[in-house]
Amino acid sequence: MFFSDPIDRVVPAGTHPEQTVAPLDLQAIEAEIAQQAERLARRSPEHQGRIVRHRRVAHAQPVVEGTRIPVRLIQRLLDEALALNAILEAFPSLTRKDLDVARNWASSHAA
Amino acid sequence: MVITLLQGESTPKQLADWLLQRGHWVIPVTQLLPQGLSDDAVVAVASRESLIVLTCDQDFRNQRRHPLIEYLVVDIRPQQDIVVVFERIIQLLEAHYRWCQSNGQRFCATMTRNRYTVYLWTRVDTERRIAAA
Repeated sequence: MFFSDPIDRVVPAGTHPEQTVAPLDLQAIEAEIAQQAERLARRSPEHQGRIVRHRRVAHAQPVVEGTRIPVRLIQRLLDEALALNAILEAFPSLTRKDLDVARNWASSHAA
Repeated sequence: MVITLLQGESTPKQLADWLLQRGHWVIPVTQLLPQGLSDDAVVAVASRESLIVLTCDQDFRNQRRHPLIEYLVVDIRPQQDIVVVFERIIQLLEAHYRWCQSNGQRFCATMTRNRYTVYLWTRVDTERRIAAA
């Protein structure tokens, strides 16, 4: 494998007739991977305000969909009378819709 | 000595910020994995990168399910006092980490408002509580 010099772009090897140099734009590949990783890390809007339970996520506790944040934890914070803004600041992946749904979920499951 | 932690999604951001300010290395799990991934994925990334899982999820203590994990399970109520409690106990936590590093032990501890408990795993299924402060 040969790399071109990053400054003058000269390929220092691969000049023999039987050799071929395949150009690979590593910077473009890196940028694409970073973009895809960012997309994966972003929470889908359709997951907001939904409670789910997966066998392998948060040890099967009910969580806010698309996160690993248990509803029980949100309930506890609401019981501690923590302001909604303070909760959103502490857990940036949550939205106000998630908190409303978690509160309703808690009251309906307590009954 | 810098403690390297993997911040679980259920741990508040202000605790991570405070630990970073103190010079420790805290990586949010969401920076390494897509959000909402499985427990096994979290454990795998923590083991691969030699990170201590900082979490509020007590189930990470289950040594049968996660025999190789290093963890700091935090259960502090009310949660808004979490940084105050850490300020009180951080030197003990750092000393414990140093001891684990120099003795080749896994870092396993739980923390509540009034108690910092260290677990020594001599075997996968054997638990010995050695200190309670």
